[in-house]
Formats: sequence, C-alpha cells, structure tokens
Amino acid sequence: MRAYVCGRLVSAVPVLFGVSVVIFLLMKLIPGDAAQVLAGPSATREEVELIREDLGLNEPLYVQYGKWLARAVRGDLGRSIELRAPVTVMVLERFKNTAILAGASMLLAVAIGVSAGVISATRPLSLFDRLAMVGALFGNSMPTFWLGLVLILVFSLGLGLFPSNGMYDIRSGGGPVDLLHHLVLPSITLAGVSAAILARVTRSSMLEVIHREYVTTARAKGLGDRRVIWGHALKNAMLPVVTVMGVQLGYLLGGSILVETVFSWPGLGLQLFRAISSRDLPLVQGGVMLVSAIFVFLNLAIDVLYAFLDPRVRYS
Amino acid sequence: MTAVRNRGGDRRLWALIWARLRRDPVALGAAIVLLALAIVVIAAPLTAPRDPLRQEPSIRLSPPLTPGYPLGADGLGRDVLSRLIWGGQISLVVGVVPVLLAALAGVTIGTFSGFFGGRLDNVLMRCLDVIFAFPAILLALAIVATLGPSISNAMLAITVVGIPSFARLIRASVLSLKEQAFVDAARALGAGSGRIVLRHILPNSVSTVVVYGTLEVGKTVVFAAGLSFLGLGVQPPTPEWGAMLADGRQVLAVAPHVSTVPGLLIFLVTVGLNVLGDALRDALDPRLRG
Repeated sequence: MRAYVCGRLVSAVPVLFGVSVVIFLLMKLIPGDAAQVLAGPSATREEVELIREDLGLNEPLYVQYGKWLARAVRGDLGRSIELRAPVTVMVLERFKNTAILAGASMLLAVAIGVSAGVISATRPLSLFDRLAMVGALFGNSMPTFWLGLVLILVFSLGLGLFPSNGMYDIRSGGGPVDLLHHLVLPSITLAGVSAAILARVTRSSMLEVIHREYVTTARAKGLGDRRVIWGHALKNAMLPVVTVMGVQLGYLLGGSILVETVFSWPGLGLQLFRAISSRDLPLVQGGVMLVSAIFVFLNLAIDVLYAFLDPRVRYS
Repeated sequence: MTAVRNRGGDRRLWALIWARLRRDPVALGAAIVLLALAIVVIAAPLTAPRDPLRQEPSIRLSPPLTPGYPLGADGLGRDVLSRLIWGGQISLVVGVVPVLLAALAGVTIGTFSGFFGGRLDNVLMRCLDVIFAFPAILLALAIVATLGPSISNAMLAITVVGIPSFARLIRASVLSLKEQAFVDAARALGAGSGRIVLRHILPNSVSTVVVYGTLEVGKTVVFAAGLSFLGLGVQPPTPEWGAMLADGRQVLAVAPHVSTVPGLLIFLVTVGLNVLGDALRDALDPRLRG
C-alpha cells in the first residue's frame, strides 16, 4: 500500500507542474501590453511600470516562469493589483468559507444521493424508483444559479424562512446556529447536481451487486434485508460511488463560484468573481492555482481510498 | 465498396435511433419539443413578436400575460418573449458549436493517440491530464478572464475544457477497434494507416461520439449560461438566456418572471437534451450507461 501511495504521489508532480505552466501561460495570453491592461485605462505611466516591474514582464518568458514557480512553491502567489495584499493570504482566508459550503453540500449530496440510489435499486421500477430517477434527471439538468434564485424567491423572499445572502447575521454576532441557518439555501443549491449524479451511480452500482452470490448467501444465512443491503451490498457497490464522490467534491469547489455569487457567500468563488470583474489577474491566477492543486490532491486521495477499499487496484 | 458499406452503416445508425425513439414516447416527445424550439429560434425574425432591443419605459417589469407581452417585460421595458426567442439563437450556437469543435479536436487527438500509441500517446495523454486537473468552470473562467469577456472567448473556453473527454473516449474506442479482425484484414489488403483510420475505425466510433456529444450539448448550454450569468459571455444588450437570468436578479423581488422564465427554459432544454441523450445511448452504446 505504501508503494502505491508513493507512486501516486510521484505521478501528481508532473500534473501539478503542467497546471502551473498552464496558469502561468494564461497570463501571457492577455491581448496587448499586459501591464497596461492590468493597470487599467486610467493608470499613470509610473503605475504601469510598477506592475511591469512587480510581475517581471521585462524578462524572458522562462525566467519569468522560473521566478514565479519558485515563489509559488514557497507559498508566495504575488500581490493583488486592486487591494495590494498578498494573494496567498487573501485566497486561503476565503477558501475556508468555500470549504465549509462545499463540505456541507457534499454531506447533503451523499445523504440524499446514496440513500435514494440504494432505495431505488432495492425497488426497481417502483413509484419511488421512478420518482427518484426523474428527480435525478431534473437535478442533473438544473442550472445551479437558477435553482439558487428560485430557492431565494420561495424560502427567503416568499416565506422568510432562511436568509438569502452572507454567512452570518451581523446583528446576531454569528455562531454555529447562525452559520447553519445561512448554509441551508446555498448548500441545497450546490448539492443538487451532485446528489442527482450520486443517486444514478449508486442505483446502477447497487443493481449490479444485488444479485451476486454473496448477497444471496447473506440472505440464506438468515440476515435481515436491511443488514444485507446496507451492510453487505452497499459496501461493495460503493467503489464507483467513491470515485464519483471525489470528482463531485472537485466540482463543488469549482462550481461554488456561481452559488457564492448568487448568495453573496464570502468564499473563494465570490472573491474570484470580483477579481475577474476588476481584472485582478494575479488574484485570479492564485485562486485557480490553489483550487486546482487541491483538486489534484483530492483525486489522489480518492485513488488511495479506492485502493484501500479494493486491494486489486494496487496490483493492477 | 467500403463507401457503400458505410452508407449502409449510416442508414443502420439512423434506423436504430428511430426504432429506439418510437419505443420511448418520452424521448420522442423531447426530440419533437427540441426540434420545434430550434425552428422557432432559427426563424426568430418571423416568430419573435417584437424587436428584442426596443425599450418601452411605460411597460417596465410588466408581468406575464400583459396584453401584447405574453411573458411580460424586463427592467428596461423589453419584451421577454422576443428576447428569449432571439437569445435562443445565441444559446443554441454557444451550446452546439463548442461541442462540435471539442469533438473535432478531441476525436483527432484521441485517434492519433490511440492508433499510433507509444511516445505520442504518452505526451498527448499527459497534456490532457493537465487540463483534466482543473475544475472545468475554473479553467474556463481563467481563460475568459484573461482574454476578456465576450461570446467568442466564452466559446473558446468551453471548447478547451471539453476536448479531453472526447479525446479519452475516442482513444479508448480506437484502442479496442484497432485490434479487431477487420482492421487486420484491411491492412492485409494493403490499406495504409490513413485509410484504416478514416474508412474503418472512425465510422465505427461515430455512435460513441454522437451519444456523448448529445449529452454534452445539454451540459454546455448550462455551462455557457453560467458564464453569461457571471458577465463573462454575451455582453449587454444582446439577449442570451444566461445573461437575461442575471439581469433579472436585480428585480427578483418585484418581477420574478424576468429571471425565472429564462432559467426555466434553460432547464427544460437541458432536460430534453438529457432525455434524448440517454435514449441515444441506450440505442447506440449501452456500454456508456452510467
């Protein structure tokens, strides 16, 4: 197992290197004089030169990349053009809030998706199965930003049950209950697509294992239906589900930009949205780099978990 | 002779699709609705009741079913129905063109990679791994943020993030097809690599691309609407469903129809495309069933 984990860790290095090259080169795609574009149309000559100097734009491309990478490895992703603050600090500060939203959405998606998938598979073509699969089709087709607006319209503006923006109510002084109250609508919105995909994958995976011999054996031993399904069949059906969960967690981190914009959730997504609007490209670059690096390590963690759950993977 | 066989193959493909649609009334209904919608949208100069850009301050935020404005008016007094019909042209183009371009690039890369293998395969696949390492929306955002917000840059971004999936899918298909007996037979008859790929391998991979492409169009419509919602796609005052939805956010409390109606349309089109894609998959390539 240790050799497998080491091998996977080593294989992540070239991918991370490639990610850093793509992000660095993206900055070079800015049409025209990058320093002028980044400084804005009203910037003085000195301000443009300051940005040129700051980003090392006068040097050859490979030197620029080498310096940028060396700084990035030390955790220095440059400074925000608009706020003049270190990008790493800004990005990490906001990422915490995105992680809370993505984590809550993942829990919700797993609870709804896996349960619906298991129940559907145990009662194929029943009313529940049909409704669950129609729900999964709808969930998978729903634009998250539209679902968010509809939820705000009904539960916030209409019924007044949940707040429509922010993470805490400044009047109540915060606290976990206030946070949960603010989390309800954005986490449901973000969880929709993932729950739909997990429900479909869990159903199809469960249908494959439910007629296997060991399930019949467990039944023949006299185990109850619930124990057989949730204890034996689900455990083996979870392998593809775990893979999809990893992909979905990455999607939740990336997709949070739309949900955070709709609900003004103070996370990395909203910060990126504002940085894009103000063309604060070092901040965009830093935010995308951080999320992509986390995405790579998440996939790595899922591969390792997969190998742990199914030892055959380690030897293939 | 091969050409004759391929035409026969195309006919069989359409026959399979038609047989499946006839057995599945939901998928047939989705296909008819999507076709009708496409016709209405393409014929926008004839079907849209008003100029989508014309502002009538007196009917600002009028609700649906206002006389002359069946779906109401937006914050600037523009007819929502006309904007939806004209906006559909852009949403259709943004939904379909990047998928076609990504399919073209992905099929080319995947075919080269799978057929020739070796170092070329390794290099191409590692490059695609890098694109896969980004959450798609973030890479698209970074591209549009760098190049500047516009519909063509949004389409470019969506194309780039779509290429790796097509390439991997086709590579897997080519890897299995090139070991088949009919490829050996063609080679024994003196066919070159180009002829084998174009005449024997690619025609056998078409169904996989069609199925995946249909499902991708649904995702792309939502993806493009998301970029426009963030202000990175179509720029005002051009109508587009995602941009219309974003416009309506400011007046959600007083005129919810301005954003909910375009959102509902995006949702229905995506449901239709997903139902159709699922039916095509079951008819043509059950191995892709998720």
